[in-house]
Amino acid sequence: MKKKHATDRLLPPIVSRAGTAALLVFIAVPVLYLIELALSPNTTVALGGTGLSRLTLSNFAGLWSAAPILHGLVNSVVIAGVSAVLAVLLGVCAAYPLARLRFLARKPLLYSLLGSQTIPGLALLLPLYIMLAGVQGLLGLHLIDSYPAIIVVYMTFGLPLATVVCFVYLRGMPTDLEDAALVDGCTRLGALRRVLVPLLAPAMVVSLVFAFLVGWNDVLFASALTDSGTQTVAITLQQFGLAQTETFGAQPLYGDLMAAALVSAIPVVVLYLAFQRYLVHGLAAGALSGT
Amino acid sequence: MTPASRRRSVRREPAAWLAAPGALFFVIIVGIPLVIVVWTSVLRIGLSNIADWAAAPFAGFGNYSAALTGPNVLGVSALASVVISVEFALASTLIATPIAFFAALSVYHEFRGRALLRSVYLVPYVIPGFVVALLAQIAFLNTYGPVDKVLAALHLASVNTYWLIGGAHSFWAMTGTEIWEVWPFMYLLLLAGLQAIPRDQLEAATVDGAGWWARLRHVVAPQLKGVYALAFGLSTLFHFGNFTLPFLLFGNTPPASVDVLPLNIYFRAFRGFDFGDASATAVFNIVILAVPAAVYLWLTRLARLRARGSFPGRTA
Repeated sequence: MKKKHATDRLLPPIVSRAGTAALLVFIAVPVLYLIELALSPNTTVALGGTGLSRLTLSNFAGLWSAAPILHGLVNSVVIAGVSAVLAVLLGVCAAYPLARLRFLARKPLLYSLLGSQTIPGLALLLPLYIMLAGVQGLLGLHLIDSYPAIIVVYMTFGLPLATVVCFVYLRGMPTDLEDAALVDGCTRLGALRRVLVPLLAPAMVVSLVFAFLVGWNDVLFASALTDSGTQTVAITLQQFGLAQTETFGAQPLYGDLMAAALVSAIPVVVLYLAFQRYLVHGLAAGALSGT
Repeated sequence: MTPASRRRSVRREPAAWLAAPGALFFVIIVGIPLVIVVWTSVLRIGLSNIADWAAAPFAGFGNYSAALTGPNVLGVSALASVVISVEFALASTLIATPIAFFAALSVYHEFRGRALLRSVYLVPYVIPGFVVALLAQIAFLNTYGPVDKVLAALHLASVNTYWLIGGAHSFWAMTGTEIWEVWPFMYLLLLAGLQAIPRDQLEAATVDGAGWWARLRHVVAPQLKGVYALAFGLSTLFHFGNFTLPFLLFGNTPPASVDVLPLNIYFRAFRGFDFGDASATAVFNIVILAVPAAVYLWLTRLARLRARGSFPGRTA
């Protein structure tokens, strides 16, 4: 027993303990600071006081009456949610032939899915904006700042990881069940819908989480492709923050800002930690998978 | 499995077309813009003719020379921004490396609370980037922010350091925040790499009398090299592309010393409204990332070959 213990240790116990303690402090201080700010009255924060003695929940109460923040949260849920559901649907549909069939476009598709991860975001946003502006001018449509445009954009960015996660999962699954369904006279589509989709559920949930976070965490695309009506909470907070730094003389509402920031962080942290086993898997799949 | 699937694919079924909708959106949202950006990089496009940009006057390579050496609205040329970006990305990756290595090594062996510790290590990474950036903005506030207060109390810096208005201070405020936020990414990959090392090799080394340092040097290090190379490349690439942090940390007008390449393009396009110059800078960005991207794809294949058999599977 003692021997096994010695084998898997890669650091001397004292180094391990001291370092872990230091690392925990390094992680905890900013997180606790965020929570403290969210619970402190605006006056305390503005003067840089440590308001531990007078913590309050009033910032959170104020949050729901501050219309733009609530609106931003609702927009984030709708935009990230709809784009994630669509990304997973298209991702499963794409993963199935990629994993099970051989066809001409298979390798190019897989490589462009993986390769797209390395394209700099601005090199996409800029021409996308120009393209949408051109289509608007040509057809008289309203695309920039509209819900459909930003949803389709996030859906497409969620697609590679959703496809890859489902693809890797499918590859690891035996084909016996589908074969049985095919022998029983199911079409391939029928086999996918009746047999594979229920079995793929775990991979789909993971893809859904990842795809949701694409839209929830993004600032770049939302900053150019949404307006005050369609902006996500990330942009609402950015502008709320800007308003605080630009109002000279007035008291900055940093307590409110951080309360809203905490509210938009908590669901993400909970989602990630609940799925962390798959987070590692998904990252590994994204980084390491291939044909 | 291969001969079987080949035989089955002969059946005429519409299944391959299932990939078509996804591929179509991919072409519209990713493929076509990549072509457009090359096109618009040689056109003169401003706010007045953006809706009718296809008819914009030809600028030749004028946009490129203007973008590479000329200032954007923040007064920084694209070439100067590349230097800032490379410094930012490399400093972030290099400083995060020892933290990530230590973290991975410290949760490898079994002990009570290991699962919890592994979760806690992920927290900085999973908090949304925009939240971290806004928090850092308050933390680095002059005089009233906790960074200034603590450093002044320790007599390490003036309480009026002015972290967010320019110079090296701003660069390091941004880099420090980035390191805090993104080191767990490298830790995740390193831990996955550690767990892929066959246990019996470590046991054999222990039986032979190897201490922790010898095990680390002769068993772990050689097998972790490939994963570290991958983690190094990916994190540097991510740091290089980070837009959220520099965009949010410094308020409305970021100082010149933090004008990384993504910010440079954004300000050319959406503050200076010079879409031609911005396109040229974006094409330049793609080109200088193409080399690392090729290396990444190559390493991906390499790592996949090495990891074959261990994926897909539980890695945590």
